[in-house]
Amino acid sequence: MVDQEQRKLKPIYDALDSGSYKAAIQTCNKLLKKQPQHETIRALKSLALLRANKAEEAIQLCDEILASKPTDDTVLGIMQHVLKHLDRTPEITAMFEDAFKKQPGNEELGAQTFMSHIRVGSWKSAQLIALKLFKSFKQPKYLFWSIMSAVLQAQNAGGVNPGMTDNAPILLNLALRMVTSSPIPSYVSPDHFYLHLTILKTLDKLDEAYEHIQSERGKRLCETSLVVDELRREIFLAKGACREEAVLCGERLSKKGDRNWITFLSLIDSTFDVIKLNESQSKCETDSVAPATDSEGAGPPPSEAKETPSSTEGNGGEVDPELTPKPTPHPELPLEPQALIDGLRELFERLAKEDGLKERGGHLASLQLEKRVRIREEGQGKSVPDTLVSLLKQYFNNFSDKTCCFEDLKTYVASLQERELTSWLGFLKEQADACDFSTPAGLARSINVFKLQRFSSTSRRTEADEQTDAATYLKAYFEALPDLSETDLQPADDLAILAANGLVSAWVITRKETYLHQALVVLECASSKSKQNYQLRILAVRIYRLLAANGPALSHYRTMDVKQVQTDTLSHLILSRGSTYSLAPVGDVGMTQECITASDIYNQNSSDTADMIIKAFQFEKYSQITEFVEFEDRLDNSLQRDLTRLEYVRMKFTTEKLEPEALLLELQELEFVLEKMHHDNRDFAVIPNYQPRGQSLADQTSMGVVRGFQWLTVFLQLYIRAYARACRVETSVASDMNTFLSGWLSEMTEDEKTFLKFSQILHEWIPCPPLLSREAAMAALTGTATPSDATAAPAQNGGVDPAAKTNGDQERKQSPPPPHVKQDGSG
Amino acid sequence: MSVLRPFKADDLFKFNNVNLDLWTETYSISFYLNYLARWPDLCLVQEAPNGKMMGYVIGKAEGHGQEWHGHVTAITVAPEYRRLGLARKMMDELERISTEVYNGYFVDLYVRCANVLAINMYEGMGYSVYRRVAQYYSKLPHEKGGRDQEDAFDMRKPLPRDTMRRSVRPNGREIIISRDQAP
Ligand SMILES: CC(C)(COP(=O)(O)OP(=O)(O)OC[C@H]1O[C@@H](n2cnc3c(N)ncnc32)[C@H](O)[C@@H]1OP(=O)(O)O)[C@@H](O)C(=O)NCCC(=O)NCCS
Repeated sequence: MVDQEQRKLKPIYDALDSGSYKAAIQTCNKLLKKQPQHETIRALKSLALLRANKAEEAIQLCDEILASKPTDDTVLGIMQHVLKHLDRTPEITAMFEDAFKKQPGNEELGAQTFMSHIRVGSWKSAQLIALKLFKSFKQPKYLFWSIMSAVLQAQNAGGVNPGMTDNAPILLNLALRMVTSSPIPSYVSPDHFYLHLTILKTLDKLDEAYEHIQSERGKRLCETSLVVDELRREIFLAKGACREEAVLCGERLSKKGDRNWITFLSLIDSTFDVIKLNESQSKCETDSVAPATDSEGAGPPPSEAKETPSSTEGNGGEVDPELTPKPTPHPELPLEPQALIDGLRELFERLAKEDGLKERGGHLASLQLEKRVRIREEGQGKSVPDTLVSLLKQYFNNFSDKTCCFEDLKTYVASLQERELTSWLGFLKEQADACDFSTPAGLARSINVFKLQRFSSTSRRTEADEQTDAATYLKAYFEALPDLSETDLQPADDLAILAANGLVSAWVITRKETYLHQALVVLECASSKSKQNYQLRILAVRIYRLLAANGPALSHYRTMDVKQVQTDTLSHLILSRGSTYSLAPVGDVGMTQECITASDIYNQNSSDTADMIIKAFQFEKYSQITEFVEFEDRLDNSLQRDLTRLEYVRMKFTTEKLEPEALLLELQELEFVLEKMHHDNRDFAVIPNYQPRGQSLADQTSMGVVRGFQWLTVFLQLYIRAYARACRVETSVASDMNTFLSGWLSEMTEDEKTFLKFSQILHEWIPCPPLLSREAAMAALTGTATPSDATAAPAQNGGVDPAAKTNGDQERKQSPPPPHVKQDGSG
Repeated sequence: MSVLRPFKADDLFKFNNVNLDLWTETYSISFYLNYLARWPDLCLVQEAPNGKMMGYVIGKAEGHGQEWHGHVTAITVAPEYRRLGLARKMMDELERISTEVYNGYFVDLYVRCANVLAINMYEGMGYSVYRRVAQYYSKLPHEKGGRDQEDAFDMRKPLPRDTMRRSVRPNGREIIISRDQAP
């Protein structure tokens, strides 16, 4: 039976797969003659009609099928596609709900209904369905689905204003009750445990969370799951359990061979918390009558920054003796600050000795500790000892043959005082004099010396300094450059990058373009010998753009093969103010094409990420779900996405004639974009930077001020106003843009400010025509008939979304409402 | 010396310095999220103290019966952080999780027969060639091609559960299977 059925349908599926939609429709029609009510065939036909661009017929058939309230799995699956295509996603959930109501004993249908809610982010409905599933089918999985959905609801995950909602406590308490009443304990897997702890932590039930962590099975989960251990640390710190954290980290380092840098940092951070706690406790005991304002010497200065990433959350390090119940001193920890610090010193020295040069952890931890000690002593007005410089020298001597030595030391060099810098620079000078480029180790050391010298330099640098340095680096580059095969990276490449840094600096000082030309010669030469080095190319892209040579910039950018999600983080390299260089008017669509390529990822995100969220539910990986939802949101509301959108609009204006029907839709899209909360995902760290402290090569080579949310807002408003005027409709955007405060304009170039002024004058000068309602405007623009006909006018090749494919293919939940009155179809 | 931490979805925004390297492929969003949705504990990141990504490993657990094992799908370290023992640390952790959490018999991975550097590295870590998979990879654009470019070695390392050491075969290099026979 089933086989026969499959054989019958196969030609339809084949035709659909191969894109022969007409053939698919014909086959459907033929089969429907014999079996007019065959649901699957009808559903397939509506899909085929849709693909063949026969929207009206497709919608009619789709509505008929929905009205019959299908329950068959296959039919539901096909209809899900159809509705998604028609941008009617909310109806998908209704369809599944209806089917499940008809067959409440069908577990699979129930699960599908749950998933359909997850797909559109209706956490509340998802929570209720999951609970119902649990009651009917008793699987603990459904209970945890419900719990997770409640947590997402409390977090308002993926919503317009993510963050805890007002009713979060109620939801979380409900979630907690569900966990406690569950037939399985949360210890069954790291992900269940993670979810449980997240709820407790968010509810501030830290003692309870702590107890679970300290249980036998809790401890084991912390040992075998990095996500759980991360959360454990956050809970310890939030609870003020710095003594326990310090003891635990100390044990892991000294006895268990743990060399995770996070453990080192956390040991140092928590030890300083212990010191603070001890001091404030003894202070409370000794002079309990002292006025509360007397905080001299007790607290660290505000600059005492923590470096454990997790400690920035919650009230991590703030240990308030009034609020914290007085913990008893830990038997394994001394009370005296000096003894605590000495203990760490000894530990790190011992580890460094034991590990030798194979492992940098212990060595670097000594530096980190000295930095913290220094901040503490500075806060107490004590004079700073010389230890940091000698530790720096020691570290350099040990690891200068590793490329990362410079990066390791940067932050410690930055905290040196003037007098120490002199001694440090003297040391570097000696090293530089002994430079030897003939061995790989010698080369790596020399590069580290140069980078550190540049970074540590104290004096105001002049054109001559930069010229001399660039020449030194370049000479070294040619000396060091061996003849390697083309697929390898050249170890000497960093010297060329250093030279380019120096030359850019010389340009910054003098604004003589010839330095930029020289930098390009260096980069091109190095790039020809080291084809795979992306850093050389990134620098070249930036400098070419400064010189208005977009062609070579684009070709270097393309050679880097930026793709997939990288287009969101890296397309700014070529598309920032990209319309400036668009040659579309003379027929070169390279830049327009780049906008389209860069925007494709957002379609991928809206079609695929939700599937992965569902998958995480199916495999019960609760630790991942919030992250996935946030990821989807960050990409969907990416700042770069909409900067590209605007660039695209501006490029299009110079070539395409405005399609009146598309105007209103485009207006609506821009208005929608204006309402978004954007995330800045652009990667600027990937631009190599070997400039002196406090300078950034990325800033220096930016084409105009780096654009951000303010730029986007001003420009969006400018275009929205123009579009609205062209469509003769009202818009909420201010009509007087002279009112932007100067702060709002800080991301604009002088030319852009002039453009804004120009637009304002134009706006005032052109008389305002009588305004229309949006429906009337649509009718007027299409030059024809009634508002409902206007649906047939999707933003064709135009549109402001460079990646928009066809009319229905918009993203889920976030897509702007269609501008027409709701399709009334059969009703 | 590095921070070893779980790979997270938003690391896709941070991995450029690793992935722009020629030898590291960038896949679709679903590729990464699919791994995270199923084996998050086998996906790890090494991060520098300043927050820069140094490298990552992506793995999974699969197989039936005595074939139940951990698998390394991708391991990569950014050029500037190579030879610091990072790959070794990530492999150690993946092996530990494959043992303690998944209770697998072995850990395995596929590597181009021509990638001698990587093969030596894995041998140094206790892996050995279990079999050769013919035409597993497509040709690299900048290489000439040829059998060693396109064939893969399936390399395995026994975990404590493999008491009989079934995942070690002295003549592994001579045992050739076709691509379809490989999982
Ligand atoms: C292969 C790769 C992951 C190694 O990463 P790594 O962090 O540098 O490796 P480790 O420092 O942990 O090296 C472990 C051991 O492997 C060997 N090894 C690694 N790189 C080596 C090299 N370039 N030359 C010789 N031996 C090497 C050494 O024996 C080393 O131990 P040692 O340093 O104590 O001598 C890295 O080079 C890389 O990302 N390459 C590109 C991607 C790739 O090829 N992936 C593997 C595909 S299967």
